[in-house]
Order: sequence, then C-alpha cells, then structure tokens
Amino acid sequence: MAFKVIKENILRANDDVAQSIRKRLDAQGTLMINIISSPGAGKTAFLERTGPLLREEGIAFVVLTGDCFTSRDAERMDALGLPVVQINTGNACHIDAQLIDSAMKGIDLAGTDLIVVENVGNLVCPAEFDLGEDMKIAFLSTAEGHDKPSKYPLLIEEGKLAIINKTDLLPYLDFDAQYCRESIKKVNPGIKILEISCRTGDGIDGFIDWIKDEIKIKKEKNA
Amino acid sequence: MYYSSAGGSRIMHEIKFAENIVKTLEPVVKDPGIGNVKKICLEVGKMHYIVPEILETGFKGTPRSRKLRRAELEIKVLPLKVRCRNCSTEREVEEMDFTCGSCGKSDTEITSGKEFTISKIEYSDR
Ligand SMILES: Nc1nc2c(ncn2[C@@H]2O[C@H](COP(=O)(O)OP(=O)(O)OP(=O)(O)O)[C@@H](O)[C@H]2O)c(=O)[nH]1
Ligand SMILES: [Mg+2]
Ligand SMILES: [Zn+2]
Repeated sequence: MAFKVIKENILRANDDVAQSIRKRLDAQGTLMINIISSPGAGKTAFLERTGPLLREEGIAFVVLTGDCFTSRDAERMDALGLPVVQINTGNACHIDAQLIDSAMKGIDLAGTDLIVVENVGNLVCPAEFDLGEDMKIAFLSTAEGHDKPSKYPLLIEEGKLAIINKTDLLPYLDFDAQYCRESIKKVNPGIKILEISCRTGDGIDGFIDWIKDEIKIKKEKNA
Repeated sequence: MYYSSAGGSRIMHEIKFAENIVKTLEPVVKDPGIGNVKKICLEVGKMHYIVPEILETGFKGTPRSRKLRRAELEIKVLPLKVRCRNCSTEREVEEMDFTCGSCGKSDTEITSGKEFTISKIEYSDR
C-alpha cells in the first residue's frame, strides 16, 4: 500500500469559486455581507427595514436571497422596489459559492457598493461555506433563546457582526440578553453586537452607520 | 426580481462536502503512478458540523471515476483547543468559552478544531 499526502481543504472546489468571486468584488471595491440565521429570525424583515434606508443614503445595493423552493422573500422585497435576486437552492440547506457566482452574472459590480446575501434559514450548514463575502453576520433573535451562540460557535467565531433581533419581544420572554452577549464574546471577543427590533425600528440606525463605514473602508482599501 | 436556481436537487451539506472531495481528488488520481484508492483520510476539527454517516452515504452516492470507486473515508475528529496570546497556556475547550483559564484574558487563538482537510489518500501500488 502506498500513500500520498494531499493537505487540501475538503471544500477546495467551493473555495476556488469563492476566491474568484472575492477577487472580482475586491477589484471593484464592492462589499459583500452574508447574513446567516435560523429560520424566521427576521432576515427578510431586516432587509425590508434597512433596504429603503440604504437607498436614501444613496448606497447602490443588491440582495441575493436564498430559499429552498419559494420566492416569497424576494417578492416581499420586490414589493418595496428593492433590487433582489432569488436564489433557489433546491433541496440544499445552504447557499454555496457556485450559486452566488451564477446569481452575480447579471450584476454590474462597478455600479454596486454592496451585495447582501440572505442565506437559507439555518444556523449550521451555511456557516461552512465561503461565498467570497467580506464578512458573515450572525443574525439571532430573542425568540430563539439565549443559548444559541454556544450551540453554534462556528458562525459566531467567524462572524464580524452579531445582530440580536426582536428586542421588542423581551418583556414577554425569559431571554437573558446579558448572558447572550457574554456567550458571544466568550467565543469571539472582537465581534460587534447590535440589538435591534425590525418591528419598532429600534437600533436600526446603528446598523446603517456601521455598514456605511464598512462600505467606505472597502472602497478605500481597493482604491 | 430575477431567479437563479440550483440545477438538480441535493440534500444535506455533507453531500456537498462529498462532491467537493471527489472534485479535488479526480485530478490527483489521474497520475498513472496511483492505483485504486483504498482510503481517503480526512481531518475534521470539532468546530465543524459533520455527521460522518451522512458524509459516507453522500460519498457513496457521488459519481466518481474507477480509481476512486472503492475508496473508503476515514474521518479523524480533532479536539477544540485554544492558546492564550498573553500567557501561552493551551487548553481544550469544553463549554463554549475561549477565554484563557489561567490568566482570564480573552485574547486567545484556536490551535485545533477548525481543520477541514483531506490529509492523504492510500492506494494500491501498480
Ligand atoms: N415581534 C417581532 N417580530 C419580528 C421581528 N422581525 C421579524 N419578525 C417577524 O418574524 C417572522 C419571520 O420573519 P422573516 O423576516 O420572514 O424571517 P427570515 O429570517 O427572513 O425567515 P426565513 O427566510 O424563512 O429563514 C415574521 O412574522 C416577521 O414579521 C421583530 O423585530 N419583532
Ligand atoms: Mg427570509
Ligand atoms: Zn492566559
């Protein structure tokens, strides 16, 4: 029996595509964020809230939204006139780089400041796949309970921003916000945490300020 | 609003992992010096979510060339460890707390647990 050392990433094929996407984004200074949450945490509601504000700020953006079969989320955003591409993943529980690559075909990167990926609702699988994004956003909500950061550490560890949504529900839940924040920081002390409510609009401004900075940083880095 | 859709239908992420493994290894086994592959050794850190049985099933269902057809997967799971950048203490993480157990600083780095590698293949000599 003979052997050969390989030492390649298991997702090498995916990563090659992700790297080529990243190169194209970098060349144009386009920022890409990958929003990952469990089903129903409020990703689409968040984009319905923030999309019109981003537009008011003059930010040119496109949303790529993933769903197994339906186009409901894209229809919700389309109703607000937000630019959106629906990615249907079939039976897959995540978006991979190849799907982003195809979805990007019609996008003029030179005229785009920001691409927002709404991943398939799932805290496990999407965290495994590099899409060529600049950063992953861990999108949590109070209704899920405060123990999620410890249960899904990969996303928290790789995330640049953690959003805790549905703060308007706090009076009705036994959600321990401090515990949640602490368990996020125990895994990733450098991550930024924003608490928001897509229902009331609380905390949304904080996100708009943050993303404007990030877009600027990306543009300057690649100028 | 535009549509972009996955051709065909796939199920779990482990199936995607299996397809990626085959894609990476096909060019490697083209080498005439490499015979039929018996074993593909993987090293997967604890931070990743893999159900080995699903990965194996996925691998069996992934089309591949003759030299890879009989190959079996050997999955080695590596523990989650962090090292403190302040006092250099290294320890295994059990509860999801990466803070240093010795000096209490939170500036630690993961030294093991994020591996996601095809480490080697074993094949019959020609
Ligand atoms: N009370 C409250 N409800 C919210 C908030 N944000 C979203 N929701 C509700 O939560 C439900 C799910 O929201 P979606 O925006 O569809 O969640 P999603 O993460 O896009 O869901 P999937 O794409 O299916 O994973 C909807 O009924 C929203 O109205 C919030 O801040 N507060
Ligand atoms: Mg949605
Ligand atoms: Zn220490």
